[in-house]
Amino acid sequence: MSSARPPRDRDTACDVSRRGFLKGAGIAAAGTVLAARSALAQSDGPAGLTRHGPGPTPIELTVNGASQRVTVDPRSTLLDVLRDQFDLTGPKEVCARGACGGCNVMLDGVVVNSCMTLALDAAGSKVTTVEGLAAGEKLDPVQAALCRHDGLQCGYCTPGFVVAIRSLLDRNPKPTADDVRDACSGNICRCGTYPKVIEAALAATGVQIAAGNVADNAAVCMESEGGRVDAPQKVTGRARYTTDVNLPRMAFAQILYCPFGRATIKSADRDAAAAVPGVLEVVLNEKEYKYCGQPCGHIAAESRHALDEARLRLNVQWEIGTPVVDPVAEHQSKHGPIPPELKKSGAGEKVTAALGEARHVVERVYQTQIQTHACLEPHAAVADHRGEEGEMWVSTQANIVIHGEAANAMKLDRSKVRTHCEFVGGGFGSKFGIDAEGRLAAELSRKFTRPIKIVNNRKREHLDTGCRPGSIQYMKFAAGEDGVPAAGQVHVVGVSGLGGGGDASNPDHYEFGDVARTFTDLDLSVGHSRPMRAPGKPQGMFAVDSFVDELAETAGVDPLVLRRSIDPNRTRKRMYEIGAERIGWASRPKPDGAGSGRFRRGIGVGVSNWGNGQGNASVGIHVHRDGTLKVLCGTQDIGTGVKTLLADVVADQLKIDRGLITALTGSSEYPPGPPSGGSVTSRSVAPAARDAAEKARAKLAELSGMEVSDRDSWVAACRKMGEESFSVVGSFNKAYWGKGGSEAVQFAEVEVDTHTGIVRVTKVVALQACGRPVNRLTAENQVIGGVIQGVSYALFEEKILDPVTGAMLNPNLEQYKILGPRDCPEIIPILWAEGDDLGVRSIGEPPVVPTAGAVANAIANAIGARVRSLPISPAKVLAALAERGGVA
Amino acid sequence: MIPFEFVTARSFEAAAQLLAESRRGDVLLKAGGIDVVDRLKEGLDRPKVILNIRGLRPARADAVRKGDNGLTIHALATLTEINENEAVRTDYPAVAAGTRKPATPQVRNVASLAGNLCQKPRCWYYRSLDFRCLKKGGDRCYAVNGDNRYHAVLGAGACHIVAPSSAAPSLMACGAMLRIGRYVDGKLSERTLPIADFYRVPSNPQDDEFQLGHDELILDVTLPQSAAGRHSAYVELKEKQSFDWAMASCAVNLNERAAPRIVLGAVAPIPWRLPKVEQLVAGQKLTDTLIAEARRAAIADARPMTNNGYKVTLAGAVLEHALRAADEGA
Repeated sequence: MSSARPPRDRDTACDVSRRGFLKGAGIAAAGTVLAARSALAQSDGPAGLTRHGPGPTPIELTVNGASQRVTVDPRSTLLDVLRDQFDLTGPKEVCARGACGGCNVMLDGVVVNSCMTLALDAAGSKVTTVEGLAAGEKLDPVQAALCRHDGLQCGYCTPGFVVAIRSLLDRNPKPTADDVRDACSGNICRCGTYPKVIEAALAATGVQIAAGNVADNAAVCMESEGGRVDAPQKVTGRARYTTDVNLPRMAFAQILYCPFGRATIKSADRDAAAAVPGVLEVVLNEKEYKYCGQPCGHIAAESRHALDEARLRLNVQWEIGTPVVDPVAEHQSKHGPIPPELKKSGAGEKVTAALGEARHVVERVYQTQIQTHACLEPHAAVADHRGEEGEMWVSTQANIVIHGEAANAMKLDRSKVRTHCEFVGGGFGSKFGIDAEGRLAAELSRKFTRPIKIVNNRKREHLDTGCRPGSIQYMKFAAGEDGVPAAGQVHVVGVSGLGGGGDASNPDHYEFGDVARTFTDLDLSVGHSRPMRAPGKPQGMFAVDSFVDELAETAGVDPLVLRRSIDPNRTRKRMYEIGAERIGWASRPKPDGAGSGRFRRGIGVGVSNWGNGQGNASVGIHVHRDGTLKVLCGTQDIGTGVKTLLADVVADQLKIDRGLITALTGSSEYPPGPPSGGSVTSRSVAPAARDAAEKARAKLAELSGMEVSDRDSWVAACRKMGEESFSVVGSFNKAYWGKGGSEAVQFAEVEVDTHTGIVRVTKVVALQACGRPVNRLTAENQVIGGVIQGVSYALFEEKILDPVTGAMLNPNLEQYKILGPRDCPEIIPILWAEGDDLGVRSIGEPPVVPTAGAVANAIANAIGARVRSLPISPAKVLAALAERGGVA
Repeated sequence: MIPFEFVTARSFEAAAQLLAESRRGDVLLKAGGIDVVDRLKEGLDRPKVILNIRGLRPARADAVRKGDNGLTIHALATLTEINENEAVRTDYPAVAAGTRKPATPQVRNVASLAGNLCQKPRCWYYRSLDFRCLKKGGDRCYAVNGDNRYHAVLGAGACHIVAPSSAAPSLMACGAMLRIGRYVDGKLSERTLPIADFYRVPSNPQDDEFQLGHDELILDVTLPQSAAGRHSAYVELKEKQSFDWAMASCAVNLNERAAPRIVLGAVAPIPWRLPKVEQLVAGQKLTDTLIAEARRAAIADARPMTNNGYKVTLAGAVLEHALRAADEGA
């Protein structure tokens, strides 16, 4: 273990400096274990062979221009070694199987997946990571352009994109947009930033290209040009996520799980697993497991190699039972047929009467799939229980929640526990607590009196960290001559794991008259649902917007004309006008499927809205004598850009420039901010930030005796005040709160290959009401990201369950298909701001809602046949075409 | 992963010698490592030794060499080196496409031609340690009663995998010859084999779909001069256009009009040559009627499973697209 670092002193464990974090003593421990097992074995064989291992072996690696001798295991990937022994946090492990580009590095100038490259294969080559691209503080042009164009959100995938684009530009200094899409086609961004990434890549070549939709949005935004304040950290790989936290003496653990829908343990080789050097404990619980992914124990070990080897040697054999995976059969056996009979009284009676005398009766069934959150940063926790006090890092979207949970799990008073999450690689509703990962890390850290790190592998992440439930939605309505529904029946079946949560927002947004609505939640043998970006809404509106189009088709009216009649929302009515013009509604095929040729174009529309309840937050401001400010809030930035919002809002309120402001978030040590759920973060934090800014202004005026009205007077007053610094805390203030809605209308244009059923979404016009947009680039990015997740949901994503065993068959990022750069439509985000309202409204969730319905309607418009089940795969399109009797 | 010894060979001969002296299953040959590392991570393979030949990769300029018999591609040339090669692009457009379409830029920068030809199938039952399927020595093919949307519609025996290589169909359409080495009597001896004979549906599903002894390795692949020309094409159909596995693919070579070669990919356990379709179109002008007939002939023997009937339609469609593209020429 020549170069493995010695274990650092315990006292430095809470050192949060970069150095303290990154020099992983976990590796030192691993090295010790491996050294104990086998002597170094590097020798030239007689026949032109060089031998390494098994066990630790010294090699020389040249990384970012510097050569270093390190000791690696032949099993070590280049990614492991870069992260654990070179202090590098830019390359990330996301899919671990070469499908996502999160771990991209350059090997002799060529981009490769470092997760699929053994470290031994990199010896003798020049390795360049994202950290090697910036020259000191001077960013590479690609990095600078990504900052300017906001080509990032949560930032977890960003280093991988930077490397892919840099590698492209090295070979091809003047690429086209298609070249960029090709070069990035092995990269996945879950937040959906592709359009801005591509724009930035072109800008990096010197092409003059506007950052985002200046024409539509610049005039209404508070800050139009400034990108996000923490972008430089993200584009350089310096942003530190929970998975990047390494502490001295840290050990590792992994949760074991049942891979089938229903099973008991037949046998397991516990002794063999426990005998793997470095294993701390192996726990396997015998009982009947009732869903795919259900935790059944754990392994703790001093190194990840030991953890992985022990998992394989444990060799659990399962007795597989009969899982519940077929929702239709389950509904039939537990709740009878779909739909249930209408009641003879109340709404049921009215609906029966209306159906009896209606001009049109339309009856349809829609189905949606189970979608997983697939955050690129998996659920992860590091716990450091130090006896009297404790500290935890958790990948979370609710710092305020995890602090209490961490204290409970560590069995310590809250005042003795600190928790952190400054950066999080996506949450989307799946990260509201410390979860099983955090609880186990806390428990093991207490037990073994050393830091414990748990990072889910991609499979467990898919199986049991939440999902958007699937649904079956039955709709039968009576409609008049004009297609306007008078009354009808809706039956929603929620398709999710134990514990339910599968309701869909159906009916919603439109006036449907009297509705007899029933809902049944089924418990399938799959992982529990968790809220996922607009819970219940995308699945509901896919069915609702599809059904509205089917009503229109039945009545022979234009779907937009029918929407104007049944949509009571005045904002959306105006959005219909603008959006229709921008997408070219008048040019859509009439009737559906009226085009000719192999490729058919179609246009569809979908809608949503979002309530904007009042949210609470506290924001602290430290004002310093040199005029600079620290703005502190304990909330977290899940990629929406809350630090940027804090800086922009405070700058706007005080009429100072944001260069004076440093925004800090993501710690239990700051004034408490809201969990990022229900799209409340910005709308809660902004009024509190304005309130804090006003308090700061008043206090500064008092201390300096000066009037403070702009940057110059602010700085002058700070210099004049008698104190070195002072602090204020702001909280909710109604004066700065906007209580309107977050209406959304989206128009999608598609092209369908009628030979193959392959659908390409070519363009989406996304109109999004959002109060007063604070930062144009981050707001546009939210809308674009919502659309991209919506298209991905509409066409690709699906948790596929084996019908016999209930196992998830695609627990990876290869066959769990997430939209990539080459599948990304042109997206025109139009931020809909009204009046001079300072209020910030929600835009995190509403833009993901209308997309699937709009895409489904566009496909039906293109081919004259409708797919009523998500995802709309080529197989389903071909089946719909065949049912219609082929294309004309 | 289970610990292994990592042995780097400095020559094909050294590698072949180690293979010859080892028992089947003990040594796993690794080139670029894309498929091997994947299998090691899943725990599907647990070799004592990884025999690494990645370092035998030639200089970029030597990856593809022009000779008297055609174009010779080094076994360890990367897919990127092949598809960026000017001679390949000009004379074998199907091969250029077959090495440009699969996977991702990062993977193509590393994946070798030999590794691509010898990768294991992507069947999700086979690839998961949780299923002891026929191919892993178990007693059943889980795809039969399971979810078989991506499984075989043609030529399957008891095991319903589809051939994963995108390069293989186009190489087969271009009549590629493999040079295969093996260590005998103190030196590397060679045999050559048409790629069409390299792939066989094994009678025992545990066996590979390619004919390579455990002591053999591919040295290079030659594209014959007779197959050169602008009239070859490779088309693949994918659900997602950014990194996805093909649902169906087709390579067509019409440069020798009288003896065309047509191969489907991703629909059968091996690259699936269509001799009846070749006979139909041989020497003929490709009319709409003939193409329709070719489509029917291509899928006449299809045996779709419960979820993959659409692949039969796609096989016909991709055949048509590839035929038209090859006819038109690159």
